[in-house]
Amino acid sequence: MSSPLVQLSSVSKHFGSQRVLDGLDWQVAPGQVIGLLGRNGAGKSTLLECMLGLRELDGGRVALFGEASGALSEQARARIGYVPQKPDLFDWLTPDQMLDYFKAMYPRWNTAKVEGLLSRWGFDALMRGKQIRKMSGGEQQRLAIVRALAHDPDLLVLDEPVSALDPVGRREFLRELVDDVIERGTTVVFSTHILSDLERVAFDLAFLRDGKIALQGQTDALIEGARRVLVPATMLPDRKLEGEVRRVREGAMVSLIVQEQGGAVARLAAEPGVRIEKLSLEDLFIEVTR
Amino acid sequence: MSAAALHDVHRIWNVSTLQRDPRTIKFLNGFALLLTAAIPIVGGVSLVREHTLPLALLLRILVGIAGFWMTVVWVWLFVPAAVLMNSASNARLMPRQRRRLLQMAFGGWLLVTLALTTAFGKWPVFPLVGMYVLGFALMRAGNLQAVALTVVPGFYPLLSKQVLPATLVQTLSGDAGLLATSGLLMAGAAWSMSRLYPAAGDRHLAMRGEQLKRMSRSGHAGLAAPRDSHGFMTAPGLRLYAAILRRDCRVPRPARMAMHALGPMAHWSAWTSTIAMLVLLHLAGFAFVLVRGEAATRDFITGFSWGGLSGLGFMISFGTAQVRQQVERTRGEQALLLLTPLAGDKPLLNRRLAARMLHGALLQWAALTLTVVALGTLFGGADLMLRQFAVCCLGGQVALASLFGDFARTPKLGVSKGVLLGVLTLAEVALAAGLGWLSGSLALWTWPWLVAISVAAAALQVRHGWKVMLAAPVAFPAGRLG
Repeated sequence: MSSPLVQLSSVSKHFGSQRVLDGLDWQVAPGQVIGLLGRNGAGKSTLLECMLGLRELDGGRVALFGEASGALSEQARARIGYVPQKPDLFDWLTPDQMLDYFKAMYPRWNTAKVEGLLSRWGFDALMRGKQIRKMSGGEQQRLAIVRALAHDPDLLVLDEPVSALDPVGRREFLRELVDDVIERGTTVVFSTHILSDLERVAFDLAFLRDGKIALQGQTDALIEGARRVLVPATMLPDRKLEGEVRRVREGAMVSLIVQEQGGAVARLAAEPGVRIEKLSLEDLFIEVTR
Repeated sequence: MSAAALHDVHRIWNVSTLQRDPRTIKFLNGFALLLTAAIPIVGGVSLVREHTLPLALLLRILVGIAGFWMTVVWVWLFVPAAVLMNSASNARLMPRQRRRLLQMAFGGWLLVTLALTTAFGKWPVFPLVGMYVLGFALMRAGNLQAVALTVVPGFYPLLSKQVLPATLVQTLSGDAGLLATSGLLMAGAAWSMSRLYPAAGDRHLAMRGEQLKRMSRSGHAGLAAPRDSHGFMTAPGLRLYAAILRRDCRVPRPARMAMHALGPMAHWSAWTSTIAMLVLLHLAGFAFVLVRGEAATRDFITGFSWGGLSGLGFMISFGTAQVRQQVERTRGEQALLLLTPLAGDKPLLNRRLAARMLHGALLQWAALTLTVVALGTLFGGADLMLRQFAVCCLGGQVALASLFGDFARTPKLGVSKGVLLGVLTLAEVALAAGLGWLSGSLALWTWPWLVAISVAAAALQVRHGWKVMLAAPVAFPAGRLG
């Protein structure tokens, strides 16, 4: 594996007495596409903001392109694209004014790409002269995505980028993401609650729970391997099984969530009274983040 | 009023006022007590010097203090909080709430007006006081057009002498006229309250978003800072800003581009239309004096202009305080700016930002001072010019004191710092007056001393603030995104 493009080591962040990130370790390799999952308030946005150096850390360190995220060079900053959760930024400007502003801030700006995206996403002349604050949430989000893609970033960080888009808008965005961004080898980290999008795009999934990455793996492998094993409590050893994510006692039975079926699970499956259920991504999300 | 109704009123008062902003209530209580403590002193002085105790006057002062307390609490806290409580769904679904809010709003207005009228000791001022309080409350609830209600009472002396027919003024001042105007005003107040707290429906839903936005602009505690960051900028002002932005984008300079992330309200162009409007207003006043050249009119307009221009002078500090507000409001924009290559690293960004903010504040100070001094000279000659210049210097000093800081931790200008600034300003005025008295003439020397003290204090503040800002963590995003 090549050296990680994003490296978080023992990252901690708290707000008052609430510990949001708790000694979190995480790595993102170049070209990797990771969907970040977690429940509301789990700290996904905080994690992304700490990763980009927008928040100070209470502990640990973050490196992007090998540089400390709090002191990124101009070259490193030019390689980052970011879509924040709130898309209504620079809302006193029109789309043209806002894009001109950012064009002036970056040494590289793909005007052809911007024009293409604007035209494909329905930004006609009238719309481009309208104040951003007067646009719908979906239009603002599309514009934020155009802005983030315009300088052809090597690392694209998207904080719930499609939450305000309708299914058509989401599909168009995902097509753009796959066709252009991912094909170019761009590293993408994005958080979302819309699990069907992750199945379509994210090659890797990372689940954030209790301030740590509780589970990470390739989407296909996770969906393929994730199982709920219902086993009589007496048959289960005390030690953690290979691939075990969590176990919950339900009366005489134990519900065991595993991310892959190792030898021990396969042996259990052969025992009488043991039931194995396949998990969907949604089931896995619920089980891992519970 | 039944026990159930009293219970409702108590509950609403708690939620809307006492629990919403206990710090302000505590501050007001303390202030009112302080003022009340002065009553025995006034009585004592009168007893020693005049050998009489002016009980009626002391009672009026007491009622006046209570009226002041009620005005602030009712207008500043209750009226806007009641608007927030009366959402379209609450208005339709919460049993009795809208009715109680209406009763409390109208009752509060009547009580405040009666208390202030009693303090004035003249019943004929009841309609004027009522109109003023009503206008103030409606403005606080986001209806800026109600400013007319606050202006009319201030101009009434002029209107009654110069504009309105003498017979009409006489009729209005009589018992029947007073009764009629008071009745009309009460009906108008009741109607205004019913419009302020609508009973759900399409009109309520349609107006609510805009109303909340307007209220948030005036910094109402219950609302988040507004997202439309051009506040009261007029269309020509915005066009000017857009032209400047276009120019800056063509030749991007990091400091200027960083300031654009704070929005147009933090830009000097935000004040051009306001200055132009005030200049026009003053010129119109001057023209009026030329046409109707009676001494009384001239004195009134000159006095009014002194007040207006002083306000304009203090706009320097208000305008600069807007920069701090914008720093708080545009954290998302600052985050995006920080990730751009042109933003520069931490020491550079803070230095550029501090330099640009200082540049903007000085530019605004220079423009406003020039305008105020020129208009002051036009109205009152060299004497008024000097007074206006001193006020501008004081305004500029307050502005500069609030400009710099550690934005990463405290983006907002806190109440404590605001109070400290107020106390410092008063201390400077007192010092200037003291030095003026020591120099031989209070009237003659206070103003030059005020100029000297303000400029010296401003220089010290800038030096200190500059150091703080450069030593602070990177300014953006302010408060680290909240």
